[in-house]
Amino acid sequence: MTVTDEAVDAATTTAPVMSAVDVVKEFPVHGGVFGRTIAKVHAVSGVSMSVHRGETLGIVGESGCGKSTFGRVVLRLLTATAGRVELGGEDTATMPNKQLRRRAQMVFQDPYASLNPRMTIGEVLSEPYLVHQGKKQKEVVDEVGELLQTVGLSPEHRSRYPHEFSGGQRQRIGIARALAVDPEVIVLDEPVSALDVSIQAGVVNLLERLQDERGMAYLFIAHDLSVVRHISDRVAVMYLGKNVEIGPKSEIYNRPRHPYTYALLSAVPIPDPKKEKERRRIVLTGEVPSPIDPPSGCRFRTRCWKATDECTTDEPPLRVVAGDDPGHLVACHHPE
Amino acid sequence: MSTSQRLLQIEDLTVGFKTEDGLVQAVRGVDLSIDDGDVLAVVGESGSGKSVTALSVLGLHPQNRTTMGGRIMWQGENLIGAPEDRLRRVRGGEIAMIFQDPLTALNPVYSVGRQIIEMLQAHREMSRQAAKARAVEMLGLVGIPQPARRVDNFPHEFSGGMRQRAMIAMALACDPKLVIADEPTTALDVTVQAQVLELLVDITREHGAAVMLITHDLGVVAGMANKVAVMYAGRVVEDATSEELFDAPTHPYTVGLLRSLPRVDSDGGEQLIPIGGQPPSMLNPPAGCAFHPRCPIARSESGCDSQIPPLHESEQVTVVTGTRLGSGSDDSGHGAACWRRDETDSLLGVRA
Repeated sequence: MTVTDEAVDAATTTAPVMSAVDVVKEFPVHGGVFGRTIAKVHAVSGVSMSVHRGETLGIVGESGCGKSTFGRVVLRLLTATAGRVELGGEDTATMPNKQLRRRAQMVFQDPYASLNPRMTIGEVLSEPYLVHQGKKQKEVVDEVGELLQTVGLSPEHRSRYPHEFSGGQRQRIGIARALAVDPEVIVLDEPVSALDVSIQAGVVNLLERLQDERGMAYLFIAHDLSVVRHISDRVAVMYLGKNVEIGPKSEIYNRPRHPYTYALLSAVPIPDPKKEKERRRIVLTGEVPSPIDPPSGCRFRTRCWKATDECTTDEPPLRVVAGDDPGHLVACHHPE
Repeated sequence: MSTSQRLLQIEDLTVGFKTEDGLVQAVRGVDLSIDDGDVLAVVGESGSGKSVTALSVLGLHPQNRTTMGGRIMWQGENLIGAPEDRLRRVRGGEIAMIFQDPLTALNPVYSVGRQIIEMLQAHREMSRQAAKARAVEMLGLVGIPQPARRVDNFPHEFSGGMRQRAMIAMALACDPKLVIADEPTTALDVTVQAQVLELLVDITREHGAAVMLITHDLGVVAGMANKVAVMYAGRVVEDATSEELFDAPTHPYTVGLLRSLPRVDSDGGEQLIPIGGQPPSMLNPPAGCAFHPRCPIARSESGCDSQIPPLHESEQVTVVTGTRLGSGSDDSGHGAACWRRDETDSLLGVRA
């Protein structure tokens, strides 16, 4: 189901850089005396998305919705249980590791955990060149210096160790490392959520500038709906392993169709007391069900105020609501 | 400002931590006050001293490594230097605390109910049975389904949102006059955050308790607080009512925070404007206004790098140069610790 393709193709008239088709990821739960598989965690249950050159696709959802797992499956850091991921039209399942890592990179959430504390920044940033271009460390001094400048640091920083940098600077180093191989796609998993707002803004601006200059595609995974609105071109909303709504960001934020999207947006506090007072907030009752035994039909129905019998029996497919932007799809029997 | 007794009045609080590298000046002269029924938000980024200020109220800092100065007047009684058994009465009984991470704040080997009962028995002369009935009542009040059954559950059997509800139940069980909530929803998802914040506001209002809300999220502030204090580098740099703060932010740091914030109610056509530089090291904070190295309008002539600006103009005793003819607009109670507070309007225009 390459649902988003036609719509975006119409707009960009190019093939997607990366597309995921019906990706499923299940984790076994072991138990009992013999450690047999007694259950499965359905982390991602048939998600299809694609992203184009120069485009940012934001993926939002709450803890446990499968957004991070999906990001990792896309980069083959986790093996998909089913489905396939294509990079420039080629199936990544059979792609050599080196080629995959050269074309698709990742920036992690925690800039403290994702840099080796025993390597200088110069060493960290030369590694991509050593691995992918077979160069020697001495030969890439200029490249590393240039990289550091690109992300707003100084070439003199190369001899320092990660602990000498602040969180924001480390995240810049993480971004520089991803850039070193000149990838087509970067998966960013909560890249700014560990940073204070005043620092976060600088990193967001950096990501936007780099995309303008180099044209790579971003898969921007985050729980912060404000940041996602700011940086994304299109947004996908995930709930309990499913993509419940996807579309251009103005559609998703101004005309959300899925009740979950609606509730999610209404829950985000706005830094403006007057607007806060006037807002109608939909406070969802209950909690997200366990992904070990997700509800039948629509997975959101247990918390949905519009749920009917149909929602229990039939899983709603992603479709366009009549009159909407053709790129705006929602998986709901009773869209807003 | 009224002269009547404040519920809580913090005056010139200083807190320092002794470390191998020297004294970390986490709080450097904080003034805050809370009256009955107030929801005061203390906002700031990591390291601004907001949590340290909150923990000071309850005397929760390790005594051997901490130096404290100033006064923390709780209903007229100074809690700094108060005897430990008096502080024990205050903690939980008169001032309750809700921590960020309920999983670490709850004891994993006791049932949730037992922890509430323990608290009730410590502060109120109550039979075990009456305490248990009260625990069930409180759990029901915070929206835990089947409270009579859930009361015997252990913390790991609760979800994150339910644990934080249980913490709120525990905090309010003894009818405290003040609840200090330190980032109570930071660990929660946004839809659960909305539930918990709504509960916290409603239930504290019903119980007539004031709230001191420590947060980094300006959105949460706008929705909940009636008063706001913005902290930077161990000092309050701006205090105002919630409306005033968002309508007319006056300290360049507050303005900077608001401009660097992406908004969920805007498509983000305009660029975010980050605050340049890094927060200072509290081992050796900058002289004068601690924000001056990052401030776009700081000037040596105004004293920004040499003298600490007062929060309210009435406190201003030294006129640095002739250029400061002051707006004298202190009647509103809107304070901004900035030598150039009349010039911050120029910063605001950029986004508006």
